[in-house]
Amino acid sequence: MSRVTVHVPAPLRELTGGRARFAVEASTVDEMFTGIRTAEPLLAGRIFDDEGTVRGFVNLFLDGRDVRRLEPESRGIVSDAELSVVPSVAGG
Amino acid sequence: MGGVGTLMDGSSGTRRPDLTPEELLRYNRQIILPRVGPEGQVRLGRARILLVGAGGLGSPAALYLAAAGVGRLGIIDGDIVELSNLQRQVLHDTPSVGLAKTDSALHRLSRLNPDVEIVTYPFRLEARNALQILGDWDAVVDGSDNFPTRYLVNDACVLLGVPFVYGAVFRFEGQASVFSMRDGPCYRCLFRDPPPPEAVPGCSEAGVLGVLPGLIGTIQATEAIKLVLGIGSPLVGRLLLVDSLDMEFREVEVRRDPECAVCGDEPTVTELIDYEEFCGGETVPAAAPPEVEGVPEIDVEELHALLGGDRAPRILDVREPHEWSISNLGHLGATLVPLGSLQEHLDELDPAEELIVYCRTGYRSAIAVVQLRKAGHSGAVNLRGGINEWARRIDPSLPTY
Repeated sequence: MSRVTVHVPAPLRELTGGRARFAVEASTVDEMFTGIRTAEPLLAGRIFDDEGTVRGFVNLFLDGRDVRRLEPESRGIVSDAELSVVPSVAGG
Repeated sequence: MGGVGTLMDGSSGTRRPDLTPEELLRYNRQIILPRVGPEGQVRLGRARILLVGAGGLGSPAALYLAAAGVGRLGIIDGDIVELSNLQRQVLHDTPSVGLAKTDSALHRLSRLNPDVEIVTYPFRLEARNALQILGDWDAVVDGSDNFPTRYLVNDACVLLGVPFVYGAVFRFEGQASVFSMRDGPCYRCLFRDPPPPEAVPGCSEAGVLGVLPGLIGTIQATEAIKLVLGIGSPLVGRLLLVDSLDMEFREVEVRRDPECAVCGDEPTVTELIDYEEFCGGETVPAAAPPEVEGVPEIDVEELHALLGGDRAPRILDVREPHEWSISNLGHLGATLVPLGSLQEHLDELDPAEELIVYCRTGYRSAIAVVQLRKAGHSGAVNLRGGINEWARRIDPSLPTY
């Protein structure tokens, strides 16, 4: 199991009771998703649709790489990692 | 992307090829830079850059681009300068309040650098005018403040083959990238769908640290100047994430999506569309945000009736303090507990009590109701439409915002 630190950006912190980051234990991307659902169900509701797919207005970057584009062999998490949750924001 | 070319090879303007003694003096500190030189300055003088929005992001971008000697600078913005803009929109000043932003920008920029030709469009960029307007420019700097305009800018730039420098801010955080470059990704490759309208509050509701658009807007100006000069590594294929509170700069990889609706291998968007509708704005009723569907709620008439009865419910306002100062239901016994600090105040609420929760429009309060019910407050109910709906239907003396 590796420790994934999930960074919650300001626009989504209302869904985590103000928490800016939290950690989940996971050895695969799918386990990481499950960990997020358990730890922060409201945040998970914003990130994933009913089929468990990452919604089109949110991106998840595991150590800087888009989890949607990870090849099967890259979906294992072998060492501690950082997950950036990046929602679309429009302010200008 | 490797080997990004300059935006203009050959002469695209009518400006003279040589620099005057005054120009050599004015731009001396950048002309002496090794990778700029007089050739770079001439290149800047021939460049045509359009700013979409003369607000928080457009302000610093416009000032630096004008100061750098970009030959022609376009500004499109249909708004009027308001006092509440001045905390961050440094292009405008106190005497400009009430003027069109384009007029205020023209005045300021022509004083800053009279060599720059300023072209103003004092109206909003829309699907019906976007291709014509954006087609006249070498690059676009997007400093707009709403999703429909952002998707419009993206699609128009991709269709025209014009690069655009993206920036966006929220509270203490910002994003920047360069889209619509050949072989690079576009905004839709990053964000395929717009968020539900109520899910993301804008600056007027959520607030923004004044210097944050200053940081992001100057990054946008930097990228635009690099594109013109053809130097350095542009933010293509990379999204820069700035957290000003922790002062962290992170970078994530953004790749072109072969299935992208506008720049993919088989695009489905081949002309501009109705972006208000695409973003679920005014023209179509917004679906309930996914995570708060099914939250128990009452409408404003029901609350009005309850307040006239024997057992008036407790009312909780989960907005921010500055919103409370605009309008509130304090006269009906409402208490303010901003959503972000709700968890810390759960103990102060009686779980058995009937609790009506409101915010501006009913979205944040729905999240609060989910959190309250999870914590055992089974009497928590959301006020549908929020205080704005209350103001419209019950108490018109309250302002809406």
